[in-house]
Amino acid sequence: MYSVDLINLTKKWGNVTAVNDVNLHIEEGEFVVLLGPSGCGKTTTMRLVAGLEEITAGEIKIGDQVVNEIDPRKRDVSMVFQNYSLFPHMSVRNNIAYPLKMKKIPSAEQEKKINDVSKLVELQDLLDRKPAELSGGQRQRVALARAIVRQPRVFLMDEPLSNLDAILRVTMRSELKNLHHRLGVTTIYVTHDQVEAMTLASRIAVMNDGKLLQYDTPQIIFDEPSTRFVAGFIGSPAMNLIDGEVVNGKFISDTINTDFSINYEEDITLGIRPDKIDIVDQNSSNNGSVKVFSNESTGESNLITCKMGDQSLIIKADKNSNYEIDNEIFLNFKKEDCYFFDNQSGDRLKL
Amino acid sequence: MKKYSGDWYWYYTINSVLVILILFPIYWTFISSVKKPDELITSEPTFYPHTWTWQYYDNIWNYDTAVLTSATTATNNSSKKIHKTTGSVTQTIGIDDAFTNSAIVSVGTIIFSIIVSTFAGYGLTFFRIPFKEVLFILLITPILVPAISLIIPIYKLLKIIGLTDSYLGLIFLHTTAMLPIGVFMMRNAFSSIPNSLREVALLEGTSELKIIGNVMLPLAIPGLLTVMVFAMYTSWNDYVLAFLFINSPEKTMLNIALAKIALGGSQFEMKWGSLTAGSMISFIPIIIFYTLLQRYFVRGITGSAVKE
Amino acid sequence: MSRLRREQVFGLLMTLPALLLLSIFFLYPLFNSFWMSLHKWPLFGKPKWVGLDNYVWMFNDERFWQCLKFTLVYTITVTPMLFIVAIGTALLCNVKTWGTTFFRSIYFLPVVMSFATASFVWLWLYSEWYGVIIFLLKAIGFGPEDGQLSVWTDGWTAMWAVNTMVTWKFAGIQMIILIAGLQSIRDDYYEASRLMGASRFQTIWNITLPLLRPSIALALILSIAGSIQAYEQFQIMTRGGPMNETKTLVMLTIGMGFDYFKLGPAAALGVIIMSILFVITIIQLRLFRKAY
Repeated sequence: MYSVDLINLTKKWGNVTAVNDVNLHIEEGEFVVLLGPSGCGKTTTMRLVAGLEEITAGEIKIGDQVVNEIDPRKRDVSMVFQNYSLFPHMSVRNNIAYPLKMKKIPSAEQEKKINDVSKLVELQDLLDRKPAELSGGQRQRVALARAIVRQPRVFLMDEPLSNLDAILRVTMRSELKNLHHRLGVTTIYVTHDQVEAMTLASRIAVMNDGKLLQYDTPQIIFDEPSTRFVAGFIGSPAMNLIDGEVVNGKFISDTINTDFSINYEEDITLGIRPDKIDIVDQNSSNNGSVKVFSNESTGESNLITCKMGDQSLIIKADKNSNYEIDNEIFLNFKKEDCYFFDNQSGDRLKL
Repeated sequence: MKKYSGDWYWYYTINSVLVILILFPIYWTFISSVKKPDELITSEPTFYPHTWTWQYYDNIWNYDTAVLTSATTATNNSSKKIHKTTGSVTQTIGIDDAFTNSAIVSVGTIIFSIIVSTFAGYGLTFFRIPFKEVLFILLITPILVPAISLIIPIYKLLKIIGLTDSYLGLIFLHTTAMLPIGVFMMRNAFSSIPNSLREVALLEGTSELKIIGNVMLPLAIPGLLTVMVFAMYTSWNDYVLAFLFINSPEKTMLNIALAKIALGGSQFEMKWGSLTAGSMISFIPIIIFYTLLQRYFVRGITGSAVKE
Repeated sequence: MSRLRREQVFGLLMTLPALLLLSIFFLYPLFNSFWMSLHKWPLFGKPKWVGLDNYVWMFNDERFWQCLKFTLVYTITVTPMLFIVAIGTALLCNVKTWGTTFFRSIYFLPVVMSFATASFVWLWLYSEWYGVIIFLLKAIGFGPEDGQLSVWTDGWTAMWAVNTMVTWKFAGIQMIILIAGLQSIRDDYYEASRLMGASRFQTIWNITLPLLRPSIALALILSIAGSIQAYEQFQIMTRGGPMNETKTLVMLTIGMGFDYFKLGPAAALGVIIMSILFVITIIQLRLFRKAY
């Protein structure tokens, strides 16, 4: 098993910086997810590790070896592409065999490895079909098998589940988790779906605009987001982020006000998760009131959206509650459930 | 496309060598056409013309080629007046006339091809003609049959309709050879135009002909240019048909006239000078087409290679 | 008249010029060639039905077999030459970088020249006394110092000399066809192959070429069809010599029809050539049906 190190990794396309001084250490056998919106640099970072793009500055190490100058074919890294990249003119068997063939592994050994791998991903019956004859999920498993069969030092996965339908995605997530447990290969996984990240990762690296914002276990990222962006990106439904100012030690905004005091001078953003806001009757409320804009039932709860001015607030209410649109409701929440972020830098403030 | 990483030297070296190799024959032909006879006819050729003369161009353009393949090496001041000696044994023609002949046939082919292909392509696209697909396939079939298999019956045919030894006959033949590419291209060009454009114009009361002229043709210009380019290519470069079906000396096509120079006479300087000059002359029109309209050549070839 | 009927008539009218040309100058001669091949056509007098006699006579004629053999040998030798140059330049020109378009236009340039002109150009290059290629060959050490070195005296060298000219002239078209095919191959196939340890050569062999099969098929059909119909290059450069060693089927046909006026056998030869081409095309289509 091998560790992976990204040291001051930078990639520029002319004037555009796609990856900006990223530092990351991945332990042996870890499953690290690069999470972020489109264009944040996560795919580029992964392709730099693969060697499919050239580094502008910095270093990449696999184990103890600096691999900057090493050609992709010699890095012993395998990748599952977003659209699987299965060779259309080869059968499943030959697709899987390809990396072994390139390494000139004897055919008896090839046979064995192919059989082992296809059992692992349940492809035994499909070995002689061509990719065009397979369903999306089946193709994905072939791509996985092809990546696994060689037992590389590092697995790279580029949004492998994004082309699958929702139900299949959930199934494959657990399959991937189990697979990783069995094989134990260091994995770098790229996605924009935070649910995938939360469920699969041992650690998540949240990226935006080419920069690494936070690198921690899913629980820590959820509980202790280090920037406003991370806070708003993780969690479903997303954390409410309300701009406001501190007046007389209290937080004031268009939607909610706090009754507890805050020791800060600048404008800040208050973050609070939808399930941490209680809707109470007017007398017990001390954090303001809002008007109901819409309410949606998810089956297990009611999501109430409230708007005041430009700001909106989502509250997770009991599934049996019934708050009508345009009604005024009164809110309550605790200071320890709040997160505060500086408006300028986005950094988390402990107040 | 693949991105190269680090092999710049290989790439540019190999390409440069290839470019030199490919262009060399053309370069050589050109400089040979301007070297003075002493420098041209020698067993130690020079790679750069040290002397310069336009005499070969002058000679073959204006003079009778019978003179050019004779043994006289001095400049023929006295023979300046000799033109089209039909009374002589060797029946030949000046290149200026041969050039004009080829030009007439080529232009004729271009015009006919454009008209015929456009109408056929248009009809096949927008009208519910019975057996439309069958007709289309029929029009493409000539590409499968080698011209050589048809020359005997064509000869008989031309005799019957009285078009042997005529520009028109050759034009018809060239246009027919152009049918597969022409109709294919124009049909493609028209099918990529939404039918709604035509229907709107029809609703406004425009006649079909006006629609073609004002709406369709402008949108189909790439297709037209492709047809034009290929018509020029087919007609100007043709040899077999021009050779077999044009018999009078005064109607000889350019390629054939040059071939007479190449095959006639012996290794005299005039012949080689004339031949290389003639080759350049014959090459220039098509190279102009190529420089200006190169992408249409490519379009035509890949159009049939890649299904649209 | 109903609208549909009007539309049909109008459409047919538009297609009429093309159909007329097609019928008169293609379909009629096509059927007539079969008809003519079954008759004898004396210079004076009426044509005489002879059934398959012309064909029998052809198959018994030594010259037919000689020309057939040569045409096939020529086709077999020139096709790989053309293909290798074409695929080489295609791979070279499939690169996203400055100069690629320029190089591509240069490689395509000889294509626009006529076969006749190309023959003239190379005839001069190969000229026994004054040609620059001869000069260079002598400089390397071939042939007598002061004497004549000719590629035309031996049928084999003559053929290869012409092959070189044809490769120079024709590879560009095949290159364009192959480039079109190359561009339809997805980039990520190459990336995946590279990541799995394939060298550039292995990628070309295992991924590029198989996926290129339809384009390769088209390029080959084009080149083989053209080679079987070879005429100008040999007529102008070798005149079929020495001793008819480089005479092609088409040259034989033309000679028979227009020099000796044996229209029947010439027509029969035309039919034979057509059939050979047909069979070869069918075989090729079978072999290269689809990439996957």
